Amino acid sequence: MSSSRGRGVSRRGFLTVAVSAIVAGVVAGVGAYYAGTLAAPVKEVTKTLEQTVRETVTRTVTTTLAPGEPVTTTVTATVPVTTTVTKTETLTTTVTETAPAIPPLIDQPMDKIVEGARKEGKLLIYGSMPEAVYKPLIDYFKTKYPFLEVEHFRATSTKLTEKFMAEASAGIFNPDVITLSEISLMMMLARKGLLQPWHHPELEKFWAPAQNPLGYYCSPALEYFTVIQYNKRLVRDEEAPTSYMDLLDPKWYGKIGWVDPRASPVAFMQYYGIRTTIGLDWHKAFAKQKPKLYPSAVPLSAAVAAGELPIGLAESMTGYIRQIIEAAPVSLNVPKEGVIIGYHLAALPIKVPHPNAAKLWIDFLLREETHRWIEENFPLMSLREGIGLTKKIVVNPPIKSYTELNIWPINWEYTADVKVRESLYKEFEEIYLGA
Amino acid sequence: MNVLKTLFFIFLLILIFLVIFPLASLLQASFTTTPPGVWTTKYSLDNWIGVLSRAFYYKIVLNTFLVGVGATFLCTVMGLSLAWIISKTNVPYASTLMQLVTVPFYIPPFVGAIAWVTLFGPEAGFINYVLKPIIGGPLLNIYSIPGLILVLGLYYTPILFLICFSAFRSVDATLEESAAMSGAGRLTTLLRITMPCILPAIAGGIILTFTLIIEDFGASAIIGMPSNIYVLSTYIYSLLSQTPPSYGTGTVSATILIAITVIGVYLYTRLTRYSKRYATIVGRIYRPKVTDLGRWKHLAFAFCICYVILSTFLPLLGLLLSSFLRYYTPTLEAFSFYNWEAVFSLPRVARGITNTLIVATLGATIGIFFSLFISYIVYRTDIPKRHILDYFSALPLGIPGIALASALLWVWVQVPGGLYGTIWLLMIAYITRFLPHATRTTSSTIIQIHPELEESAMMCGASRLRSIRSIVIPLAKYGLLSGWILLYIMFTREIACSILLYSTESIVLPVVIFNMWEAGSAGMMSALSIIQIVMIFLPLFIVYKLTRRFAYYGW
Repeated sequence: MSSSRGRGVSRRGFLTVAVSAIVAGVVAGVGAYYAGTLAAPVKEVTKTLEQTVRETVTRTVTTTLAPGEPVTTTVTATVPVTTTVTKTETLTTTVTETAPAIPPLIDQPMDKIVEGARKEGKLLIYGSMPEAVYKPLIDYFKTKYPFLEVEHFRATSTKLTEKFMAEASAGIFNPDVITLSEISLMMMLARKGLLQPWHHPELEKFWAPAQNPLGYYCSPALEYFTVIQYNKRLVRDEEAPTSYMDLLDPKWYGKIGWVDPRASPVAFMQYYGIRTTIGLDWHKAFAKQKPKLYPSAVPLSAAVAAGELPIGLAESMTGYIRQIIEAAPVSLNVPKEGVIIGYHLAALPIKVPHPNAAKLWIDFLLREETHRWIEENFPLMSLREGIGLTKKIVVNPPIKSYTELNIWPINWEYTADVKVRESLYKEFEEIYLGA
Repeated sequence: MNVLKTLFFIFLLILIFLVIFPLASLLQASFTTTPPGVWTTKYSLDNWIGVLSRAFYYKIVLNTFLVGVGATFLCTVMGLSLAWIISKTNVPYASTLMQLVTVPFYIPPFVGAIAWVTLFGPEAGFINYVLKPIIGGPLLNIYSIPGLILVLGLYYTPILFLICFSAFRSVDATLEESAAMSGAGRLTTLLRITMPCILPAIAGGIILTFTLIIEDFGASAIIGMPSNIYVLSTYIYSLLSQTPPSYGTGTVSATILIAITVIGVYLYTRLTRYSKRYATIVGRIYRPKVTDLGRWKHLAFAFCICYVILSTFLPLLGLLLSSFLRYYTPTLEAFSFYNWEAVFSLPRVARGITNTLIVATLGATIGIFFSLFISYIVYRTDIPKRHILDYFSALPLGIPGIALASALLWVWVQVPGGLYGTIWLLMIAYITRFLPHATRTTSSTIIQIHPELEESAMMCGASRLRSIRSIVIPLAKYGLLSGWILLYIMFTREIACSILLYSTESIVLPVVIFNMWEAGSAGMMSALSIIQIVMIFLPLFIVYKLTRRFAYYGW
């Protein structure tokens, strides 16, 4: 009895798995439909947005740009289509730069906004900056508006975007400000109608290509750039690589760390930048050097500081953590061929629990006073005219301001395309992981 | 009987919502380009074709099996020998050893991996740095497949050890004594009597360990990713964390991982189909039999101590050292108290600790009783289709945490009632994720209690629920307690789901630690890891102190 029952059970059990797979399929359909109906609020939001803002203007910087050169702009307009599903059509026109009516960020007298923020009492930022770096900036903000309790919810840009989009699909809007380090993710949010357009007169004081890469959605407040970080105990200053080509020297075989471009937006832009500026052959040669690939620049720069690796292709900001916060023996070289800028963009979600506090934060990020403070006290680079490079970072050769950097242009429209990304990721895997 | 039937349907509904719904949304997403749980009308096989036509993908699957089998083998050898030595022989200080070898269980593999990197990083590991001038090169390069197998093996051994240990303890000693009286030697008794008795528990344990290892993310990421050794879980992570997340390819990989687990669970049922044969906690009195090792007992003792040194002592020393370094380096030039001061000044740390404590204690209690009832219905009733519960509750085992988290996020954010963003949602997610671990423990506990005990209670007039309360729960309490502890530990260190579901209010300690790692603050992370280990260890110590008689059973 017992053994025959036992055998029967396991057979039935196996069948159960098969049946449950089918059930799963059915539930998937029903469930997805359920989720779809619940996700409706987003579509509503998109529509209302499109009604208020007739046309959404997106500026694209083309690849042939060098800093200082005049900006060619194409204008993409989002056209609402009268079907149940919102459809986005891209129209390339030669419209001049007169943007349609974009509401100003500061739409009331400043003291009214401050008064409103005082009543709100709170500000929640979704941000991707490491806390050790960001906290001083928040503390400085608090000296101006001490009545605000500021919370910084920190995660990587990709995770923040996913969390924010999932919340929005259910009609939940938690953050007052969302800060991401990649333009293409911001672009995704803007296109889904999840961001408020706004304008601020201070924007014109910033480096032109960065003034508003998305067309009035986010501020180009503070940036960082790519550097070659080396450990001073293992590498003498005079032999440290100063260019990407230097990294191909056989003596550095197995001794260089880099960040996985699939995991880090900045490393991806670097991969793309080197590919278009120096050439794909560089990647093929560099792959032969067997670089160690880290999921972000932070653990990589820690490995260089520890002496696990002599050299890392890292970022100015993580270099700051090592140099200043930890006083580790590391130096940062600016590669001769040029650098990639890691953006730090602050945007206003379409619905905001504390609108006045949010406005104060973005306004704060754009003001000259803040940027003067940044120059003296904060490790991120200001792209505001007339502001020198932050004194918190020491790089070789010494750089006085962003104008002295050779910043590689990026074709954002192109790199934000999912198909392009996937093909570049695949290419990376074939070259570096020997797929 | 009717009560149980109603319970069966309630549990079935809960499981469908907790497990099948997110799982189905993962499956659905593998045919689309949208995130799991989001409705679309565009379905295609593109993701599947894209994945299955790449040689790179097979390399990853091969790596996964290589690492999984290697580490599981190591765990089996270590776990079985340790359990046998400590439970069945006269090794000196057995109860102390028992406490010591379970310590690595409290160290999350993620933290263990970081500790091993501080010790055996090829250039800057403390040990390699010291030994380099003497032996001319690194003693061990941790950034390699053997390195990964070693670390995974060390930190997953305690799970198998605990399962084997309680199995050894529950073997009816009279069987072994009869064998000895009939002239069988110690080895013959071990191989022919003891081992077959505990086979289902061990087979289950091995399958559990294997699935945990191939699903492991933390250690595989810290050791594997820098050296380009990708396994399925880290590959899924890199797919879901790239910009924009590749839900399609990611969910295809997750589905493949789930398929591997379903096969594993099927094999497990095949192995345990004669489960009644192994019911050895019967209505008779017995005492565990102890084997005299003679002179070999010192060697056995040394073996246990070696494991303790490698898995606990050295890594903890590494963590402690690095928590006192302003930046991590093998020389001591950066010594400072900076990290400890910084850690205690962060308000998030206190909030994280409180939340973790609430979620872990309450969640483990709810989770263990939930799965006790599932196991009871599956193994003690005749309700048709009851095994569905068993299969459903085993399914999350195969879902890598990061993919499950994504599915849970998109599903749970839609559920009205304000659960989203609270610690209660984290608790539900943890129970879902670790349901397989809980039901494995409760099922093997239930299987070992012979139904004759309950049958006698019921013949004497006790109701079914009364017999559960007065017979099953008291006899199963050590099994339940070890299951509770398993859940408590898993919950205290869970990271993959927490990272997507937490909010500033519901932040938990592992998230604080992970943020520190992302921010590259190795020292602060080490300090917090030490706090986490203490947090896991303290309640266990209290449980032990309060219920001293567990010492006899080894707890």
